[in-house]
Amino acid sequence: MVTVGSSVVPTRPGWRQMIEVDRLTKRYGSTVAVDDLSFQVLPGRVTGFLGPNGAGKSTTMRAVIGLDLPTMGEVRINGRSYASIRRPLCEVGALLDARAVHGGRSASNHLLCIARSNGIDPARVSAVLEMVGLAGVTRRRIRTFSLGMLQRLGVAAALLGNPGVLLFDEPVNGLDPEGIRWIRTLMKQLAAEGRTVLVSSHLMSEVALTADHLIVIGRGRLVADASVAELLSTSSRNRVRVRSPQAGRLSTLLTRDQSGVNVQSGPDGGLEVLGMDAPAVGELAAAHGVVLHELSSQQASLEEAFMDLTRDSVDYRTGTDLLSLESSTTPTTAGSRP
Amino acid sequence: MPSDFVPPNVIDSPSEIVDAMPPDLPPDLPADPVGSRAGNAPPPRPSTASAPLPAVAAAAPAGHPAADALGNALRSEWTKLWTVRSTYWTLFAAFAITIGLAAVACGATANQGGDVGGEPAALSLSGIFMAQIALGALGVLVISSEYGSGMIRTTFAAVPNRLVVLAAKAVVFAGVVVAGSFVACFVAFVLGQRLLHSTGQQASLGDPEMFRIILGATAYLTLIGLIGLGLAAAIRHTAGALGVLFGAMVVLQIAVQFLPGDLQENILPYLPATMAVSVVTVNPPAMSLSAGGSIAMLGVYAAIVLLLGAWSMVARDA
Repeated sequence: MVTVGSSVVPTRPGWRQMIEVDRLTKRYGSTVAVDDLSFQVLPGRVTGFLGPNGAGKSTTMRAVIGLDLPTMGEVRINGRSYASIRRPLCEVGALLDARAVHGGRSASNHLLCIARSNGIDPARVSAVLEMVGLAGVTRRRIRTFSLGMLQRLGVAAALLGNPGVLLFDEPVNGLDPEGIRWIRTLMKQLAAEGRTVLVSSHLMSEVALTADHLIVIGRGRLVADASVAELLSTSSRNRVRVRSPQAGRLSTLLTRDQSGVNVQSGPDGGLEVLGMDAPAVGELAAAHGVVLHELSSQQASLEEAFMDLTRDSVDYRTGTDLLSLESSTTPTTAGSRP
Repeated sequence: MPSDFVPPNVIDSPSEIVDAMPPDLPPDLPADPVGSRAGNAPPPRPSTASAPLPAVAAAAPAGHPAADALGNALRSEWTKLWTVRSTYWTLFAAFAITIGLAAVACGATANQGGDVGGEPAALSLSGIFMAQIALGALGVLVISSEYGSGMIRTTFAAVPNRLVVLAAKAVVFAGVVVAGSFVACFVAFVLGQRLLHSTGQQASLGDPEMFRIILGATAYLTLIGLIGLGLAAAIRHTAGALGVLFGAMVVLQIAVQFLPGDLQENILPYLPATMAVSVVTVNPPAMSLSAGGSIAMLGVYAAIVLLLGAWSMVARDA
């Protein structure tokens, strides 16, 4: 265990690394933050980590980098525990809390302290500061930074060791639209290089724009582990929108024979059909000579799919289902997602 | 947004990351075709996601993993210490108080007819009773500022072995305080004795025990600082750790005055303020340990507090 050439230096080509969360449980007193959670994060794609507030996302991410000790279970980075990695910042970069910095240091000194701790060449400091767009403020004290600038500094710290695994906890908080676009592009590029990228959010719409794969948790438990397209196709909110001058007759036809089909009146006189796909509705109408003016599939939005999934696991919910007010008919197409 | 904030360009190619890396790769990794290119030619983009990419090379030569980790942690803590203003302020305060009080106390004594009244060495080192407050505060801040800001999570992510973190902080801090307080005490002694020259009661560096007194004062100040550091590791809050530290240094001493005499005799020798007096005198006061015993006892306190701090760091989530 002494020489460099043995197990202490990664010998994989590139960054083919994987995060394995294995039956992770974390309790704080009587509160269960993470409950028997297992999933894997694979390289080469952006994995979105979703859940309502308090679902256990941050706790899980803290457990990945050894800040929180699991009550049970473990997390492995390519088969090893984080603590056993020799220069952890060269394998895992994490931005968990952008505000967790000493405000009295300048940006470059802050990064220099971190670089030295892992034997990273100090020349990397100015390189990453330039990458995140903070080249002009390297000597300014961090205390004077806006939240958006702190997020950029946190990204710089995460990239300092050029790691193969990257964790971002709510990275778009405080960023302006330009910054949000920047970080989305960055995450995709990092994944395209073969790195493992896990990014958490409580907003499905945010993650949907960057993530290829989604891990959804609620109340510390795994709710879904699927691609964006898979998640959409399973949503119970997928429906068919149909408009006909003979709406009443069509409605009767639709519900007469098939069980499990539900027909509702849409806001503008059309019908919303649940439990039947568009071709079946069209064929039924044709068979009975019903004229159709419109027939379209309405894919549930990711937001809706997310709400469906986490409906039972939201800790703090408003009295009314706010979603129903806005869910009426916003057509979304899974295919257009990046 | 501040005016000098430069909006970033979207990164043209993340291979810039690779480009900026130093060329000394670990020996078992394939040479990086990008990093090894000479000249200013722009690096090619990685054509596929699976293109072999090197790890960031270390600036330090690789040795035993544990020694490596400690060496890196020491370098990091050294940089941390000298990149915040509180270090400069507290060290400046300690210097100014130690040397300034020597000048004031010894100068005033000489001016007013010249009876030292006690030991001349102790008079010139009376500043350590106040300098310990500044150095104790620095010891606290070395750790509590990281807990207070959340920086400690970055530190632990970089160095997962928390005992290494605590050891590196303690070693760097102790090294700086030993060097700094030795210089301050030495200067205070020499300056104080020179000012006392007109009284004819001055001590000289060559006198017996004088060097022991300067070293003792240095050790006393360093151990007080380390107690502050250990307290901060255990308590994690600046105000809480400072409160306990100053309580032990000052308040206890006052509180003990109200106890019955025999109880006082049993407790007083073990209080830091008594120890300080014992350390800077040739003939210690009646109710005190010897100079060596005082330093040893203070070392035991520091060890206990640091162990408590280590336990708290390791056992509790960051």
